[in-house]
Amino acid sequence: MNGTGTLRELFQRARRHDRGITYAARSGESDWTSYAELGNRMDLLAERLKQEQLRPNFIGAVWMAPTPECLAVIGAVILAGGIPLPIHSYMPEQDMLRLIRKFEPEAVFVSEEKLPILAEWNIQGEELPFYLYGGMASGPIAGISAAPRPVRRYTPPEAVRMIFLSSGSTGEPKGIMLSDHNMLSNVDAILDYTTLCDEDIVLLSKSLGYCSTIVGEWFAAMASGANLVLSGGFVHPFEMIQCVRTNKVTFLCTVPSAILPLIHSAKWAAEDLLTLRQLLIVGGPMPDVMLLRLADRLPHVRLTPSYGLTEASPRVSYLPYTQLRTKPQSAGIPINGVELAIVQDGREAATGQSGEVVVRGPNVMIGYYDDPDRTREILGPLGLHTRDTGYLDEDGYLHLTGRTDNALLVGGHTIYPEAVESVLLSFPGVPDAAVSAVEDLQWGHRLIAVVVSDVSTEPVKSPELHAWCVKRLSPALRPREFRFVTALPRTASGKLDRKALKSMVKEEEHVHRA
Amino acid sequence: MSIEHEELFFKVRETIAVVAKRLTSEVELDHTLVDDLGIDSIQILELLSALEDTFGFELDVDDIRPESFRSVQAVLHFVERKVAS
Repeated sequence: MNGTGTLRELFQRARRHDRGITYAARSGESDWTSYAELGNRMDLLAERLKQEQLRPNFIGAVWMAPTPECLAVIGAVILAGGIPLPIHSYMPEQDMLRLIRKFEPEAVFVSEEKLPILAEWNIQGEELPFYLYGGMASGPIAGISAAPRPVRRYTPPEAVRMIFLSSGSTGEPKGIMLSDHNMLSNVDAILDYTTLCDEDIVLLSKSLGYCSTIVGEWFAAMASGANLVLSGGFVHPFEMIQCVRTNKVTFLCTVPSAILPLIHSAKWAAEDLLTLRQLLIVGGPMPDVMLLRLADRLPHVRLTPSYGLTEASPRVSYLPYTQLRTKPQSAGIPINGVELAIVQDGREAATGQSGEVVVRGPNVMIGYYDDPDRTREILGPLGLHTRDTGYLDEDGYLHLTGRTDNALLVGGHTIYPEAVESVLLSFPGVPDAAVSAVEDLQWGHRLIAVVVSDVSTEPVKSPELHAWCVKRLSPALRPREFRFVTALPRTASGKLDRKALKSMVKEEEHVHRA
Repeated sequence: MSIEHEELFFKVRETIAVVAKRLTSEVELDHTLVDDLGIDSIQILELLSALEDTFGFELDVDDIRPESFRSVQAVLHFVERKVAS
């Protein structure tokens, strides 16, 4: 494919009758759709969308449960000339409203179970300026009045084919605009290092709101002719084992937190995952001791830690299986067509020297949606600044060491403490709050909220704060512990002292554990 | 309810309460974990390992069924079954 062509062409071409998607719901229900049938569904909806005479390059926000219907809708938006904006199915409703205001989608697609939420918005007088679709069903939806907006504030560049969301330090998600070439060049490079083929069965279990799921699993499977198994996600890794066993999965891409509990359990054996041939680990580093322990227990599986970010469509590097035992702590070498550099003080650093990881290649995004300032900040003359720090060793292997900003990793999600803090500060009776983290073997980081309690009023309690967060934050963003203090550490200029906060939280952690 | 059963029920409620950051008295038999107690996917995993520690069993691959962790009642049945075996 050579990264050329378009997604539209991929959807037209990948229509085999003998390959397709098995939908394996958590309830145990299972259903098969061939790629040909999925293509027909895309065509039908795309035709209807064209009849609505939506603006060329309209934005279609897709807030749906992870089902084949959701994939068909994303495909239909592309075939109709639109730009899909996939949204995590678990996105809290207030965040969804904010997204609608920011991205002004001309069309919004929601699963049936979400319709009451929109009806409620209607009752509250919220304007719904878009065509609303209950999944693939078009036409007016009873009880909800929605009408499209005639103009939009910002028009994405012509080449934008999809927009993905990524968390931002202000608490507001960033819209990452990717072109056909961005995504298809990444698909090519992924197929190259994974050697996915039409004998494979790919398990897709991460949220469909992630670029990594859409490009690295769905598009990669379609492009290689591999079958897909779509699951509604797993709570426990044993469910993943059951799914692999039942559906004879050969290829799986997951985050460290989803497999780490397996390493601690003696209750499964390699035979349970006999069909699996390749396991990609994305979304954060896996401790090298754990990686090797897993490799020992799964000698027939090629474990492949991979590194990337949505701004790079998303894959950047991978650790070849042959180097797993010699460099288990490394994020590997760049994928085909991509170049890596380490930049320190505006210059490329020498081998072994630390700095910011910078990426160059056809996978680097067009820019952030309606945010030229931030786009300029991150897309410099040297390439895409990842905000990850690290170094390249003498063999050219990347080693990640930290971040240039405050971002934390929780179960594969990049979390900015600022986003959590704004929700805590909106709780009545919380005068000040900050979020830090301690290292966590399973999740990467465990978020800890440090809350100032106002002595003049009724003290705020953990359960109330937790309940507040449950309504407003997705699970990975919720603090797992609340600690109460009289004041937060601040610098001489009054800024929150995150370093002092971190050591405070860490010290107390020792006391708690002791 | 026999004494053992009552004790087991209390311990299950207590374990769920700790994970859900609630008082034991706030956890009722007919409560659902997600909707009534606000337990999220990360806490379900915490709950499973807390149950293993408290009751001294180890989960098997086929133990994990979504319906086993829908309500306090379901968790109680699950623990009873594991303890008995």
